[in-house]
Amino acid sequence: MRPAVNVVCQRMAQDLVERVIPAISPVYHQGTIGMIASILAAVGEEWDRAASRRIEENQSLRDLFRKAAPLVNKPTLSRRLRELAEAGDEDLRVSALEGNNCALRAALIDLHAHIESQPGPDAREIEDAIWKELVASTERRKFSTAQF
Amino acid sequence: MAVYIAAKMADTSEVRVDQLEQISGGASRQTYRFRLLYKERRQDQERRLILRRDPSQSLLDTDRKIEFTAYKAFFGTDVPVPEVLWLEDDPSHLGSPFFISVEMSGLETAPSRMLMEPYASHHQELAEQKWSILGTIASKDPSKLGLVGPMEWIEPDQCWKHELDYWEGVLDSDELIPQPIIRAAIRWLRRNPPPPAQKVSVVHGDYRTGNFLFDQQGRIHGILDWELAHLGDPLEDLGWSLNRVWCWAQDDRRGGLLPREQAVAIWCRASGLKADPDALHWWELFATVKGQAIWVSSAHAWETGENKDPILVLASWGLMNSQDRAVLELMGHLG
Repeated sequence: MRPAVNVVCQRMAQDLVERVIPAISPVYHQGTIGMIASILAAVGEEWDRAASRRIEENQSLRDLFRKAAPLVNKPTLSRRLRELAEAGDEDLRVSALEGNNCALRAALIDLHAHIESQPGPDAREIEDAIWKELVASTERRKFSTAQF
Repeated sequence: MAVYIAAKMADTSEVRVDQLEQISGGASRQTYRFRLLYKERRQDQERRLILRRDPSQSLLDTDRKIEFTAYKAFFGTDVPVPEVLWLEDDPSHLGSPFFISVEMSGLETAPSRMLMEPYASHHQELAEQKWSILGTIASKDPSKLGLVGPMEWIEPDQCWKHELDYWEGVLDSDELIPQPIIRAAIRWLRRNPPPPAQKVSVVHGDYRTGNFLFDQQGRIHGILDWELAHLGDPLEDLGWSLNRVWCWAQDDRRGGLLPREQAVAIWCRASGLKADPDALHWWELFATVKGQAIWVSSAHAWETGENKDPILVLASWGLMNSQDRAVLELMGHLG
């Protein structure tokens, strides 16, 4: 699709800021258009990475679950982790990838809570891996305009 | 509105309203400025006023009575606030409840403006006042302000639990996607509770750059948006003011103004209170939970159509990830 969606969003956001906002009143509506321009710019930034960041994260979480499942002494959680680890991202639409990501991140919360309560170096190793994955998850989602 | 105000103002006539204009005032209330014209003892009079009206659905279920009462309590003290005039709960007048206050004209609130000249040259003065005023709020006796009663009393050892329970509840009810980082923070907060509050004080609830009025000489004239005000641990406000998501200059300066340690020192000096490092750390981490609950709630309100203000999208997209990164930093995982 050309022009590319991310470029369209970025340029339209720029147009709103540079041409439309100065031409409208009252100031309140200028603010609203400014916010819509920022949203459009964010859509443009997200568009290009939307599928890849979800596929990368889903795979990373499945790898983590594969490693963690044998150490989990709660049978239902252990089984859930194994099942999620064996699944894949067959449907590459962003909505489907997002659905898988939500299921994986919900299980990650349960795994994290469980592993925190477990003693021993194996549990600490998994806990460290979880925190590393959580740090990576924020890098994947970061917008260039973010304050932090 | 003119009919309503005329009924409130004895000994006046020919009450009129014009120049009604919606202005930015956050997503939880619709805010308008307007000019009030009337005759008093046959003399023409004019006042610039602000109307804060509830939308059909607020971002958070905040109590306008609390907000109005807080403004009234602090007006005329060394905590600068606009004068509030009338509070109306009856929706029959303007379609929803509202209150009216005096406009403080010619001033700025926007963090983006604060980063530009002529304001940028006055960051030190702004910071001194910002955290001094917050310290002053903390130093006040809420019962002498008449706020115990209108605001629910809380025991010093219950402050943390009351707040954490409330905001975790907001997350539970409004969360659209799982939040593993904030859930880890909540577990840590419950495992490591802070000491009891050194005093129970008025907590503004949303004290940050963006919620005060300042001029071109770097003077703060009014603290706004008291809708989340309550009684609690004064470190709650300090922790919230230091939240990383308010680093508007995209560097380490808190509130876009100055480094964390300096802000804490100003607050301690003004409040006469201590900022125990472990306790403050707890409240800073709590601020990330509260922040995330608000952004999650924003996303929920917009997606369900309760509130279509684009600021809700911008807040949730723009701040959720930053808030998660603030958790990681505070918990020592961000390198």
